[in-house]
Amino acid sequence: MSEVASVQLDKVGKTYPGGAAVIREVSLDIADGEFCVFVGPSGCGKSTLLRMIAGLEDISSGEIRIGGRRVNELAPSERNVAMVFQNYALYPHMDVAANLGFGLRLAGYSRADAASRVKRVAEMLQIDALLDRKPASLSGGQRQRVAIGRALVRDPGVFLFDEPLSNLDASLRTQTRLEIARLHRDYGRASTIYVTHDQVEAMTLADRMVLLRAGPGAGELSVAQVGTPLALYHEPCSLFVAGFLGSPKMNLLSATVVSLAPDAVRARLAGGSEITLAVQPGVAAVGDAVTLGFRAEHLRLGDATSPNTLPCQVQWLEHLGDLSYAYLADASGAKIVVRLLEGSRARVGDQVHLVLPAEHGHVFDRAGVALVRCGGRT
Amino acid sequence: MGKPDKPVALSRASQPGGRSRGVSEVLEAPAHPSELWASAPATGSWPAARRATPMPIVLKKNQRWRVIAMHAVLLGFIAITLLPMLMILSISLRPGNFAGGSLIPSAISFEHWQLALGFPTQDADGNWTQPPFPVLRWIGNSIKVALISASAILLLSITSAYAFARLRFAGQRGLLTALLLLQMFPAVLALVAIYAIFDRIGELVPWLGLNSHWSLALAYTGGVAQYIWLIKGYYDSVPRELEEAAAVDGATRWQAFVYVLLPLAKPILAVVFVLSFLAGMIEYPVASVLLQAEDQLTLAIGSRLFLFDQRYLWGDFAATAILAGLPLTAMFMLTQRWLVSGLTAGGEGTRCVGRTTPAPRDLSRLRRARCWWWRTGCSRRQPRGLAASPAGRRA
Repeated sequence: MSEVASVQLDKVGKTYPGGAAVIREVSLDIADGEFCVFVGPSGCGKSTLLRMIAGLEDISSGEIRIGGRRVNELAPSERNVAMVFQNYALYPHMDVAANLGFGLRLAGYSRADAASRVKRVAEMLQIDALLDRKPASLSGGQRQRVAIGRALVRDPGVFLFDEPLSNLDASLRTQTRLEIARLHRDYGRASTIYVTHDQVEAMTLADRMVLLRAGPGAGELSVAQVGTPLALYHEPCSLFVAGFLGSPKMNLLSATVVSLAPDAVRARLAGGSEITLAVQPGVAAVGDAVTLGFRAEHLRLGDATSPNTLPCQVQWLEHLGDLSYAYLADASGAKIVVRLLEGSRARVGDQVHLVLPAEHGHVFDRAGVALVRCGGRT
Repeated sequence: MGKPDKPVALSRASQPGGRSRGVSEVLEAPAHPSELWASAPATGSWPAARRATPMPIVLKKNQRWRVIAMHAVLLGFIAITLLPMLMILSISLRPGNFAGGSLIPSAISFEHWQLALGFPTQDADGNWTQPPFPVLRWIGNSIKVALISASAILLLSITSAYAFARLRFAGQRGLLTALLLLQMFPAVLALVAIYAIFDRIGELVPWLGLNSHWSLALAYTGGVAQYIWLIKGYYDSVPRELEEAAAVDGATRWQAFVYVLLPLAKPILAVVFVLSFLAGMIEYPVASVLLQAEDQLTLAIGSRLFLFDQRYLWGDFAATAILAGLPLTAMFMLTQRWLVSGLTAGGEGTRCVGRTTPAPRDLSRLRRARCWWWRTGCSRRQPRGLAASPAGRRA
């Protein structure tokens, strides 16, 4: 039994010899038993960060601690971690039992000991019937299980998953996602770090989500926001986070501040309509250019008498069965997506009045930083 | 064309027999690691799916004539290839030492074979002929030198190829290029130097001087460069993640090399061993300079002694030549399983446009295959399924 391991990252950075800084000052504290997901657009360095924790990439600055112990200089084998690779990386020349037992064999377990542990894990993952098969004769889902089993059997303190579901088909992906969540819950003791570019995986699995940013933006750090999935969804701290999470994407409208109150900002949209948003003005001033954000599910169609409305024309409708999406354009041509519930009578070409609820509005200043919302769930 | 071609399905029976046999051999051979690595969700085990050999493509009507013409050309080609072999066999079985004559000897005599195997023979007049040369001893010498040099080459090349494929060090590219360039100079050009060096070494270390099998093996081992390239190319096609997984599993670099990479590279190791063994067996120039004592000679130089200026012992020479081919043939039979998959690794599991190699059955084919391998730059192969750039995968 291994000790439970928390993972701390302290201003960890990685710069390639060419000069590209892929990871910029990441500081994180992942507690025992926590399920932490790294998510971000491609090229943001999330896999690199995971490989740095595993010890497969060296780090240029900062410190990584696992279970309170500095591991910067330790080899992967000494870090008490296990990793599931995107392509599973099963050893093609060994059968499943040998794949599972490889780490145990290296660690010097007795043959009987290793066999019983392999058997236990194989039963847990329902791959005990496959133990004498070679990886080449397994299906994608079975390979995935073997890869997870190979990580489990060593009883590590930290599990690292590098986009483990991206090679599975859609239905298998959902099933395996649930299974990974269950395994983590049952296993309990170990912390898990999971890398994905799929926000659905991130939202559903994470206790805590770390959204990473791509590209060496001027002085920007790699981490855009850290928090529970719902906190990131409902209270994005920046335009980048707001735009990355959610499907369809958050509607973003450019506007100008016209007046300020202690708990409200009034802004004029490009089309001329003025709307009020329940946010604290902070450092914003009258005349500032801002970006307003509304999620599709918070918008509804109303009539001209409602406050905070924006006249629009319906351009296209998508019916998904339980709900529909309406694609609207306002007078200035800005595109807006609205989720309509069943029974909506909107037709393509209709002139409608879109209600923008003040309490659901997000306001981002010129630098893309969110203004604090009143009654937000921070 | 005047009338539309009627499609004619080509059945398996009308396919060239040799070809389909070659294909099935390739399929049964152990797959290249990157093949086993297929990442898409598998719908079944692939060997079963692949065994359906004839492609169900509908073919044009004139295909039949093309197949017949192709057979004629190929049969002619096979005849040309086999003729020298049959002639040597015929000469070795013919009484007397004549190079000419009909292919099928009018009388069969085993005198040359007896002499080659070291037995005295008695001719019609009752005169005894002693074996002129210790042929079996020469063959033994050849095998000894070839085994030593092939083992040394294998050990050196698997490790240095690992360094070139997996480690990062200063001057890596330059060294690789230097290896490539250096081995382009034929060893013949350095004969004088080789002679002088071993003459000098012999003064200090007698067993590593002239007339020593060890020094000859050492000289052959110098040809390791091309094998380093060959093996490096194969290593490059084995996904790095396998060794990374081993590292996370607790393996040291050495353990990952021995337990993961080497077993996967088995086919190419067989290829390298056989090719370097073969090179050691048939090498002439260097051996002719380093070895002089008659009982130390290798077969390649020894057999030249059958051909005096005044008298050519063609019959004895032919019997010796066939005898010399036997150890090589045995070695090919033993390693064929790995050889086939090693030499066709490019076509099976990795991408490289427009290359197919027949299963190597004889030496000349194998040598051709080696040249082909060389030209097509085996180091540039991309494993199927991992065609995306490393940067893309890491993102």
